[in-house]
Formats: sequence, C-alpha cells, structure tokens
Amino acid sequence: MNPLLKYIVKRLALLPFQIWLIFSIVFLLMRAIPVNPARAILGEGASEEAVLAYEKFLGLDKPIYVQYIQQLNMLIHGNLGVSYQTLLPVWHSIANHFPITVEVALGGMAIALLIGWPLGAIAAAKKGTLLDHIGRIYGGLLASMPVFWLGLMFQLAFLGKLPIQGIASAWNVFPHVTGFALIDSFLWGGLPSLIDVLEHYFLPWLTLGLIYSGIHSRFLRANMERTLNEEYIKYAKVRGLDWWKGIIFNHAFKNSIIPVVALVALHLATLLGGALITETVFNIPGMGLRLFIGIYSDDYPIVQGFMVFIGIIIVLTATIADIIIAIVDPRVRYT
Amino acid sequence: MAKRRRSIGKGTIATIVVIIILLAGIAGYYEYSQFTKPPPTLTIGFMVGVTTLDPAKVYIQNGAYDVMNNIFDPLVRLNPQTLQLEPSLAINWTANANFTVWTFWLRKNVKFTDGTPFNASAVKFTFDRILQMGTGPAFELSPILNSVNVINNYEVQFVLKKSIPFFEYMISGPEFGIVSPTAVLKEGNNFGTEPVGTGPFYVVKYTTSQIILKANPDYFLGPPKIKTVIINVYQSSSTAALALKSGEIQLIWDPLQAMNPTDIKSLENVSGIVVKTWEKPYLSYLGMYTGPNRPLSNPLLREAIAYAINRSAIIDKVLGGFGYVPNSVVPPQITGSVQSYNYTYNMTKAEQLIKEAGIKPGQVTLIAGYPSGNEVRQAVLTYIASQLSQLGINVQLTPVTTAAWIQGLNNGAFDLFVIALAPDYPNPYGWLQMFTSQAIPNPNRWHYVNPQVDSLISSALSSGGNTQLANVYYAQAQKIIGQQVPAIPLWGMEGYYLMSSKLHGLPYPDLLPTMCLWLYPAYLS
Repeated sequence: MNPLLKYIVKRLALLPFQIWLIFSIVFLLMRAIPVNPARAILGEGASEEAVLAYEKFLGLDKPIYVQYIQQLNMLIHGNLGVSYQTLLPVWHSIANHFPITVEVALGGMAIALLIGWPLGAIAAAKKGTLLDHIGRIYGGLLASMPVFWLGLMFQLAFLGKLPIQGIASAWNVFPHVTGFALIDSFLWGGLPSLIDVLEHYFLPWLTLGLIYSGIHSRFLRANMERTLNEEYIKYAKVRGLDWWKGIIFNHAFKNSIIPVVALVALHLATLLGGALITETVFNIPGMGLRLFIGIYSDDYPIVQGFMVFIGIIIVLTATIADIIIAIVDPRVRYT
Repeated sequence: MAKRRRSIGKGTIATIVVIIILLAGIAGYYEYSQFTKPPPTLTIGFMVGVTTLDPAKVYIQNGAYDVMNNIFDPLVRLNPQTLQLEPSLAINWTANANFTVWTFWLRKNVKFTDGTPFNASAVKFTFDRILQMGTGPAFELSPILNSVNVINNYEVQFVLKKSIPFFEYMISGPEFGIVSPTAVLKEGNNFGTEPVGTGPFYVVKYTTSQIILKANPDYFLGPPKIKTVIINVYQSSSTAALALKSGEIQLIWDPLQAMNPTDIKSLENVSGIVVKTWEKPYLSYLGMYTGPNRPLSNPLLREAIAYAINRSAIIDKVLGGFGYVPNSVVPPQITGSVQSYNYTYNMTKAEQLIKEAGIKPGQVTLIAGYPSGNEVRQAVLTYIASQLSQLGINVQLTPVTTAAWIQGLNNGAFDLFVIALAPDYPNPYGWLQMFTSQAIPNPNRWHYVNPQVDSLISSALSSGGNTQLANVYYAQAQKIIGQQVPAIPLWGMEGYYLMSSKLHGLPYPDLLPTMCLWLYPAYLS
C-alpha cells in the first residue's frame, strides 16, 4: 500500500479512540464540578421537588456509570444528545453554528497568510535593514495584541462606516440552507445580499487576520533566517541565482514553509473550534459563542457534543496538514 | 528555424484571474449600491438568552418571556404601566365565593396565526398540556389547579385545589399564553422553535442567537405598526452599546441589568439615543441566615449590621448610580407597601448595638456566599464586608457555582447572601411569603420563623378578596419584619430603555417586576 495512504488509514483508525478519550474526559470533568444543571436551568426560585423532577426528566437521577454508558452508546450511534437549555439536538446547534465559524476562520486565516507570509519572507530576505526591523516590530506587536482590544478598536474606528456586529443587516434575512452565510445570502438575495455579509465579516476577518499574521510572519522569518544560512543557499548565491525569485522564493521560502504549514493547521484547527473572543466582540453566532453559553449554563450535552466535534475537527485538520506536507516536501516519507 | 510556441505563463494567468475578480467585485458593488433596501425594521439587541419559545417548557424568566409575550396571548394581561389586569383572550371573568372556581368568558372570532380558531378547547388544551408535561410553569400550577373544564365554545372554568383570591393574576404571564393545539400536535417537540399563538407577532425564524418576528395582520386588537422585528442576542455589553450608537439596532433590551454601567453612561447625551429609566418593583436583599446556633440568630447583631450598611453608597459606588433605596421589603410601587424599614446608616448606633450584644472585635466571622461570575453580587458583598469590618465583624467571601449556591441557600451554608425577588403578580403576598415559616427553605432563604407574621399573612389571604383588609394585615407584617430585619432591602432595580430616538410607544414605565417586552404599541418615526 502507498505509504501515505497507510499513514492516513492509521491516523483515522486512531480517531475513534481519540473521540472516546475526549468524551470521557469531558464527561468526568463536567461531573467533577459540583454543579446541578437542573438547578441552573430552573433558577434560584425553584423548589426541591421541581429540581428533582427536572433531574429525572434530564436523566440526571441515574448513577453516573449508567449515564456514561447511555451517553457513550448514543455517541457510538452518532447521537450527541439534546441541549438541556433549548431541548434541541446538539447536532442542530452544530449545524447552525459551525458553518459560520468555518467562514470566520478561513477568512481570517486567508488574511493572515496574505499579509504574514510576504512580510516574514521580506524581513528574512532584508535581514538587518529597516524593512526587517519594521517586519519584526509588526510581528511582535500584532502577535501579542489582545484580540478583544483590537476588535474593539476596529469597531470604534469604523463605527458608522462599516457594520460592527452580526453577520447580516436587518433587511438581509436569508434563510438557513447550507448554514454558510456567504452561500445562503447569495442564494437568497444575489450579490447585494452577499456583499452585505462580506461587509459584516470584514472587521472580524481583519482582527483575526492581523493578529495571526503577526505570529506567522515572525515564525516564517525565523525559519527562513535559518534556511538562508544553509550551505546550499550560499552555493546558490555563488552560482549567481536571482536573489528574490531564484533564492528567496524557490529555495528559502519553500524549504522553510513546512513547519509554518503545520502552525497554520494548528491555528486553523483552533479557530474552527470557535474564535470565542472574536465571536463575542462582533456578536457572531459561531461555535465558540455557543460553547461558551453552554459552559456558562451547565449544558452538559452541548459541552460534551461540541468538544467531541471539535476533537474530530482537530484530528482531521492535522491529518490533512500532514498530507499537504507530504505532498509539498518530497523528503517526507511516512512508514 | 521553427518558431517556439509561446505558452501562457503562471503570472499571466494570475493577472487575468485578479482582473476578473476585481471586475466582478466592481460590478457587484455597483449592483449593491443600486439595490433598494426594504423599509426599516425594528432591530433589538437582547442582553438575555432565549432558550425556547414553548411556554410549557420555559423555566426561568429570561428573554423567552419577552418574545413569548408578543407571540402568545394569555387570558388576561397585566398592563405594565398601571399593573391593572385587562381583558386579553378573555373578556370577562368571575370567581365563586371562596375563590376555588374561576370562570372566564372568551373573546370570539380570534384565530391563531396558523388559521385555526381560538376557543375554550384551546384553553383547556394549553393548561392540560402544562400539567401533563410537568415542566416550566407546571411547578407553579400543579399545586393549585385541579382541572380545566369546557362549559361551551367560549366559556371555560378553572377548578382550584385551594382558595386563591388572585388566581387571575397568576395566569396573566406569557408562560400561560394560549397555544394552537393543531400546531402543537403537528410540531411536537419542535413547537419551541415553530410556536403558534394568537399574538401581535409570529415567528419567522428562531435560533439561539437571532429571532425574526413578523406582524400578525389579523391580530384581534388590530395589526401592530411595526411590520418586522429582528432580535439579536448579545453577550458583550460594549458591542451592544456600539451597535445602538451606529444605528444597527434601535433598542437594547436588558431586563436583568447585564449591561455594564459604563456602557450605559456612554449612551447618555448621545444624539439620536434616548436613555429612559424608572424604578422597578424588583428588590435585591441582603439575606441573613437566622437559623438556631448561628451568629445572625441574634437580633441585636442583625440590627447592628442594618445600621452599618450604607445603602445609598452601595448604589452610587457599586451599582454606578443605577438603583433606588427601598423603604420596605415590599417595593413602594406595590399597593399595600408601607414605610417599614427605618434603619439608616449610623455607625455609632451600630457600634453601640455590638457592645450591647457582647460581641468582641474579631469574635464573629460570617460566611458570605455568592455565585461565582456574578460580579454585581461579588462587588456588593465586598463593599458590605468593608463596612462590617469597621465593627470588627469578619466576612469571608465565598464564591461557589450557581447550583452549589442555591443548595447552600437551602441548607443554610451561608450567613450572608444577596438575592433578588420578583413575583409574577403585583400583590404584597408575593414578597411577604418569603418571611413565612411554611416557605422555608425556599423562598424563605433566611429561615426566619415568626408565628405572628405567619398569622398576619394567613389572615390577609383569608380576607375574602377584601384588598383593604388584607393590606392592613400586610402592613403590620411589614413593620414586624422591618424591625426584626432578617433581610435588608438593599436596593431596588431601575428599569431602563436604551433606544433610538426614532422608537416610540413602548410602555413607560414598565412596572412589571421583571419587565416583559411588549412591542404591540411600538412604532418607528
């Protein structure tokens, strides 16, 4: 069998074990905390009888091991349960919120790469010059900037000029078809509707994009600086190859990109789990915000279901990243 | 010599692609700029979550009540400005001599928004469903309701298990909104996302982050002026404030005071924005556990604490000025409330009482519990702790999870705690029941026992609907409670509208204790 294929099969074969591990850890952690979801939902005015009745309704009156086996059995059958708060299936929440998070994550990451990679490459190529210093200051500043602060500053700066919250204007009431706002808006209202959504996404993308561009530019610069000290680069210089196209792009950049791709995959996987702070500041109905509400309201199924789903996403994203690395770098061979 | 074929380079392809994207973008933006946007709608920012829109499943008064209030009608409705009951789906009602059988005559020619008719069977269906499901308002209803009987198509009778002179008030809330039986049977568990009532609006879209309502053109009072309402749920106070300033929303609805006072202040004196405030009948108390063998079972210590707490300072310094000082455990807006809490800030008097009680500095440590993450309660208790430290009383601040805090209240784990109460109906009983021994541990969180107070409140309930007589008993009870002070009425909440100057018609003030959004009279200029 093709080694890469063998590697993919092995990675995916581990997935059920990883899901079980995530589910078990979250299950135990949630129950280790001394909370009572029935109490949390009924509120402080509820009587003991009401709480006990609702515990029974939620299945919380059963012994922990019985709850564990029941919920594990549901998980095996692809059932993530029902939210304690809304009494709607957890998959329903994921279907509503995950596509939005995908759009926010991909858009932000695209901006991060479009800005961060060229900056990092230029800084490495012009090491010691003013451009390098600017690149390094930019990288350091943006990488350490709090997301909520940058988001708030953009909101203040663009108040009245661009939408500062939500994903669509009041008139743009497109129905849920695919769950992706960019697609659903276009299907419903054509270009005007799509542009309205793009306007709403602009500031969150810019916020995430700038912060991650700082991280990636620093990381790429560091890798390229190492690569540029290699013997074959010196040889290429001696051979008279063009500095930018021949050396920087064809050799230094391509040979430095592998760990950066891995970092992109890691960041993307994290963002796909929900950019909580960005979603809160810009009021975007993504996974992070919904998970936060679930944790805050002791909604076990939402927390468990979302964590399992995010775990799957992270594993799949990491696997895809490994595949890309194997394709890009012929030195990488899986056994 | 053969000519070399020129191939299209990658750079050329990239350039062509970029030009195509740019041209598409320009064309798209031109079309967008020519696009005529539909008439403005009312967009509201909710600072509370909306868990479900099924009245039979709503447990706590969060944003669900505010939406349901506009899509369902109860039999009778409380006017938020006058706190008087008004006909809604019932045009008249009466009770028998001992208030155990209530008859309601229903409005004719009313339809649910799915086109099916409203009648007595729908009322019976609604209440039977609540009792059968045993969730939501069932906890309030099942101890008192025996059965609902259909007399004829437009007459329905409620048979109660005991005498309730204010039963009509108890069923005036949106949790008792009448549902369409056809829709319930059709939607089943999905009724909470596809609700059908008779109200001035109906739901077009519901998610936990956004709800869209459209006007019901056949509403029995006439169609509302606003045709579309969009509700966005916010987690961030600053984002909601900025959205109001930018005009993206026209109203911030914040019945539970989740907005940061700094963000509220930032909206004052802003052109195009109106901040309207009023005093609500919703009080927060400093509860003191008076159970046996505990420090606060000593009335002298409780009185000393009452003198040591500067309530005005708490409102100014901790609550950002949002609140008022109550003069009774029953809010002043409620008929029957009397001036009965007379402890004003006086540290000298407090010290005298401590000496009289024989308490030495550092001898007493009080456990003050609060739900972690509740910044208001934490801040208030911290301030109180600093005030009590001047008397030599140690206060141990103890954050716990919400559920652990409620359990702690039940079993008397805390000596001090801050709680708020807002009964569903504007009757002094709603507040005074917290001080009856039958209500231990909930809502009598302070485990206060006074047979005289029990007797007075029981006499008020047995006054046969004679409100004046009942209020005499209630007044006496308030004076005893105010003097013995098992709980200090710390502050009364202020309600507020944070809204665009273009929005008019919202009830002002909204004296319902927890407020309940009522959009029917609203309009945009």
